[in-house]
Amino acid sequence: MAEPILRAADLRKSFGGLAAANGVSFAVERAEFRAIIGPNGAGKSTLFNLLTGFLRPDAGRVILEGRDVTATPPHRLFRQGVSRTFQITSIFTNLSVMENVQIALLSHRARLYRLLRPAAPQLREEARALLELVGLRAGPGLAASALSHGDRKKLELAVSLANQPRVLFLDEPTAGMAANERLEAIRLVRRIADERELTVVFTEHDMQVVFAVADRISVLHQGSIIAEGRPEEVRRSADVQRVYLGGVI
Amino acid sequence: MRRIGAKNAMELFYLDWITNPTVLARQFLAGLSNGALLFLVGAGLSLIFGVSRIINFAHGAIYMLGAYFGWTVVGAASKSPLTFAAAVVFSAAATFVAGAVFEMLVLRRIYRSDAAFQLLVTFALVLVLGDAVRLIWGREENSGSLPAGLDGPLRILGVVMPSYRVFLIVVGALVCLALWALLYRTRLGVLIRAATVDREMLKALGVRTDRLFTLVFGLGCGLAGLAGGLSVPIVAVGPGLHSQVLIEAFAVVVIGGMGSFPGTLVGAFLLGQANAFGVLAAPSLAVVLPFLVMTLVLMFRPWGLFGKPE
Amino acid sequence: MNARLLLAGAVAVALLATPLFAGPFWVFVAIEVVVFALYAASFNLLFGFGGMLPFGHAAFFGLGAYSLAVLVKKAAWHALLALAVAPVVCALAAALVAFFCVRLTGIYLGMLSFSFQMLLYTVVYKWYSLTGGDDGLSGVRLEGALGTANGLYYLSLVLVAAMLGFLWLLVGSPFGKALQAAKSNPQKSAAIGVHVALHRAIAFAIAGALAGLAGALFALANQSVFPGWLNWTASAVPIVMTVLGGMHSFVGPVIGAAVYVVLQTVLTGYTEYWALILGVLVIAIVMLMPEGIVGWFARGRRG
Repeated sequence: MAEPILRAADLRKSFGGLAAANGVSFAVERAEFRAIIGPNGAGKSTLFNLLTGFLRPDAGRVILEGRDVTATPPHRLFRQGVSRTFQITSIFTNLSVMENVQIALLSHRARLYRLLRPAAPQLREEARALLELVGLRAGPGLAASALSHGDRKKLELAVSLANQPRVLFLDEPTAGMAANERLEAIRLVRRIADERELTVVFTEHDMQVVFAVADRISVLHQGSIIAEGRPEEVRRSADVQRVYLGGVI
Repeated sequence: MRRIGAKNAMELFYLDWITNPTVLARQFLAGLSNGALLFLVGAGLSLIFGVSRIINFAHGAIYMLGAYFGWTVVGAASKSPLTFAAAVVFSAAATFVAGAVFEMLVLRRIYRSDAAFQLLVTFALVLVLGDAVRLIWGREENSGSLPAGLDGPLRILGVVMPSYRVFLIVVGALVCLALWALLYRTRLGVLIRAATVDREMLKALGVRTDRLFTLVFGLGCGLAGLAGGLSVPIVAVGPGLHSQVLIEAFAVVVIGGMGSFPGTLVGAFLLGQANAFGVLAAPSLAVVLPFLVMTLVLMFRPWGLFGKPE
Repeated sequence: MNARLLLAGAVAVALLATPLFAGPFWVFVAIEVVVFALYAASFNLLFGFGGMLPFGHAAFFGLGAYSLAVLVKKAAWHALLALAVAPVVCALAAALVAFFCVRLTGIYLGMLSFSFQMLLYTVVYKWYSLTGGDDGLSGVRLEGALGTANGLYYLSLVLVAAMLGFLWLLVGSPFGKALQAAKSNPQKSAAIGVHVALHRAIAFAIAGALAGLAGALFALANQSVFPGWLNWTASAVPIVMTVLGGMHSFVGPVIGAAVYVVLQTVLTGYTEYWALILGVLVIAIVMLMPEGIVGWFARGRRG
């Protein structure tokens, strides 16, 4: 079996004595679509922040494509093909839709330290293509702050694809959407991921969404992974049903 | 005052007093009395910052206003302790009212605005008060006299101290106790401390935050005014009085940790002592010391000695 | 767009022609306008575009002025050489402050900048042999045709126009856009590869250098420097100008500086209570037109 594209080894992080990550280990295969689920407070956000360099683990390792990237700052991980979105939709509301994507593309091409050449005409076509890819039809000149919630989610997805990531982390990609929009939104991500052989790790509250698209599911409970497997395996797991899924499905 | 320009380091430092217990005790007490005033001003600044996250650049100006109020009541000649007491109480009460009114008229409307706006209005208050005292009281520097009973020397710790300095230490300690009781033994204190930690939670609890903010801003200003009133007999009451006080109060609050009550106490004590001994050890460097310490604290421990990182 | 070009052209002509119809007094005022326009614009690079609020920006204005004055008076440098070196000194000092500042958030960044300014002020105030202490340094002259009132005016105009042009390009460049992105959402910026601290530090150094150039020009215009330029009250000046003109626009601080300087010049002719009027004005602007002059006009045009 090939080396997994992403591997977490015994990640630990506590906040004031409370273990938010209590020895998390798992591996994700190339081009896999992996869901991480767990009740509120299970440690999903902490795990995401450990994997994407926003938090430094107390112990443990993060291995990306065979390289140790533990505690590599986020801005460097971006250059190594890692991208992420946030639970609270994160776009630059003081820039236009076009500029949001342009800035990420410029960053990927290492052009952020050009002080004198105007940014506006640079990489417009590439930016337009990304906006088209995620199906954002709002005018590119529009202020990002004027977008609807659903369009903001699409814009954030477009921005996160700008570095042609090999691993994409999505933190609650359908949060705040109406039930009928969620499946559509996650299927869009799945389609893009399949086209580009992109590895996706995502957290999600909506179990319907999770079971519809995930290749594998990891279940996080009190800072540890208590179960992992294909959707039907996880659905059948007695442990999972007891601690978490019992009331949901 | 000596000026920097020494030919060599030996001329910058004077340490021959270090084995003299009388000098040590005298400077310690002088530092304590200086620290007591710094505590009053700093506690108000810290209280306001803790609750409303506003850095009150007008804090020194309010102190100056308190001094003018006190000087007006006590006059230049009166040595009556009763008049003096009335003057100090008036200083604190009038600055409390002034602060509360300013909060209601101006600050209340801009809590949600950019931090620059909050900074600017407190700065505007500095400009307004600076000119207002010139308009009302003129440009001269005025000095009050020590009240009878506190104008003599007092023997304490084996040294002779001006009794007014000792009085300041006592008042500082009493106010400190009163503030402690207020913060840790009353419902208002619980609210103030809760607001310092998490303002949103306060709202969620259904507290009338607007009244709390008015009260706290008034209280903070009242403390500065109290310090101003108490300073009348020992400073020149003039339009330039506010600047030094403000930056020293900033130093106290930053060193201790902005918004921390014990931090303010320790910060005031440390700065008072640093001033008292610094002026002996390195007279030419002493004035730089508060800012040097403040800068170093912000560089390496920005939340101060007693604050918590945000 | 054409109206804008026309307006810009008219302003340029008026600025170039000022010495033709204005006496030495108003030429001096015009120098002041130009110099403070650069000072305020340098502040707004950090504030309006970078989302940082340093309370002590006057440190760099004053450091620029004193660097020039000390080099000219104590080291007998040619004033033009000193004018070129002063901004470099300020950029280095600003980079040093930035090294500690940019990791801090909000109020702590403001306080550290304030604290550094007060440290510098106290040193300048006390170091009599070098800085002249309370008296400042006088006789800071630029010899030759450039040193006349009109010469200094054109020198300042050209330098400031060039620097404003540089700032204009800067805020529209990838660097500037990343700085603005970091203002809006530092976390997300990091996630798309922006080294937020480094971007802010570079902006800090540039703003420090430009404020220093403004200070150095102001020293030449006054032929002297005073420690009051470094005092904490001086740091409010660029903030007032920026908010007065409008912090969300590039020209806002420039317009704010012009209005501020002219207002101050006119009013101090009538009253000694200029500070009182300014204080009331500041409170009125904050409460009634928080978008500043530019924002107010823009809203008026939209109806």
